[in-house]
Amino acid sequence: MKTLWDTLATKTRKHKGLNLSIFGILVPLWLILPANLLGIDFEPLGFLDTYHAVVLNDPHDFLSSRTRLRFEMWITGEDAFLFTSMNAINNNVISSNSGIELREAFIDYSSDNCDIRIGRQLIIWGKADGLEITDIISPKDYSEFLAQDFDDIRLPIDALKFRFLFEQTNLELIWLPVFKPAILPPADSPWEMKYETHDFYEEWFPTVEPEMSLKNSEIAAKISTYQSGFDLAITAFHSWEDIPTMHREVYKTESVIDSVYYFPEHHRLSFLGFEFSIPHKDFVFRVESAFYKDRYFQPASMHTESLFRRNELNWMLGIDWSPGNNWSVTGQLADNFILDYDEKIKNDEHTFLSTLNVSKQLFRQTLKIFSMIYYGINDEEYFIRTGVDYALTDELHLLTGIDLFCGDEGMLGQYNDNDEFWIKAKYSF
Amino acid sequence: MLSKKMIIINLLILLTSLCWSQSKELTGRDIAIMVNERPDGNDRKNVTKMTLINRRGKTRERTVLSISKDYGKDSKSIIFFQSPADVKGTGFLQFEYDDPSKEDDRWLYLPALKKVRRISGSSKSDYFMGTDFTYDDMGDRAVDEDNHKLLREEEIDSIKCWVVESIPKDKDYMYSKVVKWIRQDALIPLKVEFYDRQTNLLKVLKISDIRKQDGFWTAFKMEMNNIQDKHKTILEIKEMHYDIGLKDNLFRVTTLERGRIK
Repeated sequence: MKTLWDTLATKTRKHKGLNLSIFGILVPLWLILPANLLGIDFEPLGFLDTYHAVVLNDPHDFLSSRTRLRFEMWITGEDAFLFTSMNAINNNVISSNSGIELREAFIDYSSDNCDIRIGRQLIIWGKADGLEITDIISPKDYSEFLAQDFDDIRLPIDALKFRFLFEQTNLELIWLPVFKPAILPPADSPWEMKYETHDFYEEWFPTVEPEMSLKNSEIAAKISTYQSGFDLAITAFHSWEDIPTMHREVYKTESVIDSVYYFPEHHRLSFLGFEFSIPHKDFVFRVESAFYKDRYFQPASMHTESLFRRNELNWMLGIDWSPGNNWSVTGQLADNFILDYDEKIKNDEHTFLSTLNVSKQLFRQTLKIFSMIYYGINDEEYFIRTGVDYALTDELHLLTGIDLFCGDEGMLGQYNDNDEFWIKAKYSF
Repeated sequence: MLSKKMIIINLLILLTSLCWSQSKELTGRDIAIMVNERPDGNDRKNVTKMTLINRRGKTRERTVLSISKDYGKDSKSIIFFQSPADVKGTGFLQFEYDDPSKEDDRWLYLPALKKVRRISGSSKSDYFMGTDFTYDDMGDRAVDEDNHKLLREEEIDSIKCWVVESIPKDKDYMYSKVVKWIRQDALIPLKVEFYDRQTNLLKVLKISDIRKQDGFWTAFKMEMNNIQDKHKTILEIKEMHYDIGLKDNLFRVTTLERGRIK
């Protein structure tokens, strides 16, 4: 029987490997064109990192084991530059993630009043750290859940980004011609998401993705201003859900469910967003909010086929505190608020999540101690990552730490058995 | 070629210095103001190499590119890290205001996160990138944050200096006292002693290779010795240019995001 994860993972894995899109053809430019023809400075950069994690409990299985070479190249001219970034990855736990991967490849041109960036790129919105309020333009790679660095979780997308630049205000227009879904943990991987099991027959049909067409492309706009004493942005995005909605057909015999057939499908998704941050003495206060139009929500009962469509208001309040002496403290509270709530919806009306991040640098900033906590208030679940980062040299960092998951269910609690000890080394060049 | 304006400004400073040096009424605050207002062009660009040396003689290096421009008594600046590799591309944008009631605006760009974030303007007594210089040591500390006293005149290597003691008004500040030997002709300290809260000598800064660049006195080499930690930082200015006509539109967040200065 085809499982949910076979269906979804097959769909998403195809984005790994050497994947050259119409924009990806930019990459070979720097291989073919001599730098001196383009103008200019030719600058290779990158890093080699290796990360390994084992379960704290017997039998101490590997949860992650990967080594990666990141190679980045800048070719810089007077008004433009070309940037490419490639990964060569060996992943011993999720073998489908191994391979050579084009990560980013774009051309950036700027003048005094506008700039344009075309190609595969990361687009990051929002004031929140590690929370998705408006930051959904670049889809996410959840193949190892939160065990990856934030910058690795985001997936670059093929896009055309145009900005009008005023004195301290920008108007940004983005066109994404190609839909790219999120990557979910593959079936049978240690990070496979755990769903409630049923004693009736279930079958998942292939995911319906939007076809590539002008009509199906995604568009976004943002106006942001950076003023004395505050930053403000208004955002809008007409997109597709990165994770498909699970429609279902339920077959019953005298009120007893015999079988359920699932039909995953990506739907249109639109939001209007708001970002704000204001500093005051040792603090920076951050606000981010998005009003999502007509999202799909699952019914609580498996007997019900039809999904609910409701507007949703997601918001986040954050505070950064820099008390000095190389301490840094960041706290956030976020809520997914379903408007016009119906008790038959599976999700709670409010889903609260809080985060706390504390770090301290020692010994001339060569040693950093950090602890990051995600706490899901509804399900009383948490994820804590505590570790140290030691700069043996400026180029070579050695890191180690422990991740703890706790809870019975929910996004974090489902990984209750994945408490892990991890080590990482990163050499930058 | 020096502009007429520059020649006049330099002559005025020289005359003012000479007059003051003859006057009994010259105070520590007067000298602090003269140092603070020493001409340094309307804009400037430099590349600075920082060498950190620990007690075992192990060295680490950082290179930063910075540009700044004055807007009356306010200023805007950008700093980009060029090395080491793990922080290359990291950038700071800062708007500094003369009005003490107005907080400076600061933004930080981290290339790994590809995101600009506003940061608070405080923590100026934190050390800059592991060096022996605090943000305050490197920037313009407002004259009236300290009480200044002219102790005496003294010569260092036959160069006439004013010796000025500055005591912070904020009793919780990281230094209890700073003593500067200020070169009278250039209005640049040749030596600075920093005393910790317990009034013990904490750091000694020695400035050498002082010469004129584009008509402005410039300190090309600074060596800060942390006596207590036995740690040292040497700052060497590798490139320095004044009045190069930096455009206003360089000093915006999009320049940070681009990671480069055209």
